[in-house]
Amino acid sequence: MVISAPPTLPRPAPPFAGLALRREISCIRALAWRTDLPIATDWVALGHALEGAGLVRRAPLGGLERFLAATGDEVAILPASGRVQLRVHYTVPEHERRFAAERLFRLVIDALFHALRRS
Amino acid sequence: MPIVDLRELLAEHCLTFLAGIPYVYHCHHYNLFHDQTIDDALGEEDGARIRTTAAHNAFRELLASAFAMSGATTPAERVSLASEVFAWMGQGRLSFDVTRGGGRARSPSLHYGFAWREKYGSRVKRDEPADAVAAGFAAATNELAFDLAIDAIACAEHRCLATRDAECEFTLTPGMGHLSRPAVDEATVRRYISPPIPGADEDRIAAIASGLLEFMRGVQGDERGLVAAFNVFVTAHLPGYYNETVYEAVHHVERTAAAHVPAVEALMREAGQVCVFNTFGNVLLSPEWEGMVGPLSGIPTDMMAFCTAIARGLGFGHWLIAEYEPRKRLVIQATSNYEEPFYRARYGIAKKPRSYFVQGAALAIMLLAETVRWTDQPQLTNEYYIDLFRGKPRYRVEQTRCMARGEPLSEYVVDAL
Repeated sequence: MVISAPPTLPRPAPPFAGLALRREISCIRALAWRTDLPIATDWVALGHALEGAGLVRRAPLGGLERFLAATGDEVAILPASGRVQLRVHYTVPEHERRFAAERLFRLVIDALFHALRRS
Repeated sequence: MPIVDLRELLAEHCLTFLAGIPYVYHCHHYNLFHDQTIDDALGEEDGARIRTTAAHNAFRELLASAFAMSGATTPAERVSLASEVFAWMGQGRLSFDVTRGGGRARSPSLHYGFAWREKYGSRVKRDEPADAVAAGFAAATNELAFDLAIDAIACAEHRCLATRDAECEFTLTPGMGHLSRPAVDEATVRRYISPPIPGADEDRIAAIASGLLEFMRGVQGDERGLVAAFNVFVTAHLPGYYNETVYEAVHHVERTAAAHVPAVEALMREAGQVCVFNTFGNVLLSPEWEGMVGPLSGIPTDMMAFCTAIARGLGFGHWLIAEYEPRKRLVIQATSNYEEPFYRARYGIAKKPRSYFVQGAALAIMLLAETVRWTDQPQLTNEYYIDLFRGKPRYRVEQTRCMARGEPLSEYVVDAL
């Protein structure tokens, strides 16, 4: 008797399973990084959470939201596409830029989960 | 008077002025390539001399006008305002210790030295300082602060970020004096440009250019006097500098080594290609562009329209698309640009086309629009540039009409090979 395995459905992915930090299109060494969030993200709540984390909201530019950290690093968000650019300040030495980008990335993810909990 | 109040926009011509002197925006890739081009044409020593002199002349024009318009009369006021203007332009922040006999200037952050170190520092060792623009600016500031004649002060950089020093340092000493030339100001520019005419996709191009001009009005140097935007370092810069260096270099080669003129002209054209690839490319791929205009479609006609709008938005003049046949032919026209008014004012009627920058830019626009897969989010690396522009030639460009020759507009025809 052959017992076939029950058909399996793909397990639903966690909503942010695909989040990753990668180099953004940039000609300057390791200064611009990127992650992409689901378009369905609650962008308003995310913005509030970033402000709650100490970032300062800059004037929007068309559909672009921008948040400035005290370090001079910046988070730029395009809700229409989910593109998020993490900009490390140019005074950060090149060998430390990846770590600075990772700290920004973690800050965005923390803000994202904070926004999720509140929504 | 705040520096922003010294700005003026001739909106219909897409030309920008600071204290009545033309300025445009260029990124560090272009600025470094431009300077290298001059040195390649003339050799390092003569190249550095011509670049410093051109910066000296260009900033003297700007600062003399800025001091007059803002009522800066004392040396302290003038030195302070000059430093603020330089930093506002994204050229860096320079501090002075000067008298009427010269002195010193220093900076931890100058555009050229800093950007050179960022771009090449880990791969290339440089022996010569990179900040001829700051040296010329410093000499002009020292002279005008004390109402001295042009070239009463000479300036040399002896420490530089690009040569791995911690700061840039300059020595200002009494100079030899040379002839002053009339400023190429707004009134001069107006004499040599034509009324704008519409091109293909005019409404869309005009709307995007207007938004970009407005965005650029908010761009200014940070506390270090640098501007990081669109993933590049940006400067508000003086066409007087670019033009004097280019035309003095080309004229010198025409006088001394005529056989090399085609090669030198090709170098000057390539600077336009570098600008479109790096500056335009990074603008197009930036979140700011996506926020203002939307994601890139990659459709060639869109990309050409966008590039034309960027040229206008950076203050390069009223460029327009006159004709386009996919993969075969592109005709760009300009009723104003930043090269030809300078040529007419300084050298008179040209005997041949002289708008090298737009020649290279037109070819690059065709190549980028037809070849680059923009929706794949390409990395605009040096390797990609070489692959695109130095591989098998796909297009050639010819400037068929030229305002510097007295014609009513300039025309650049790109044909497939």
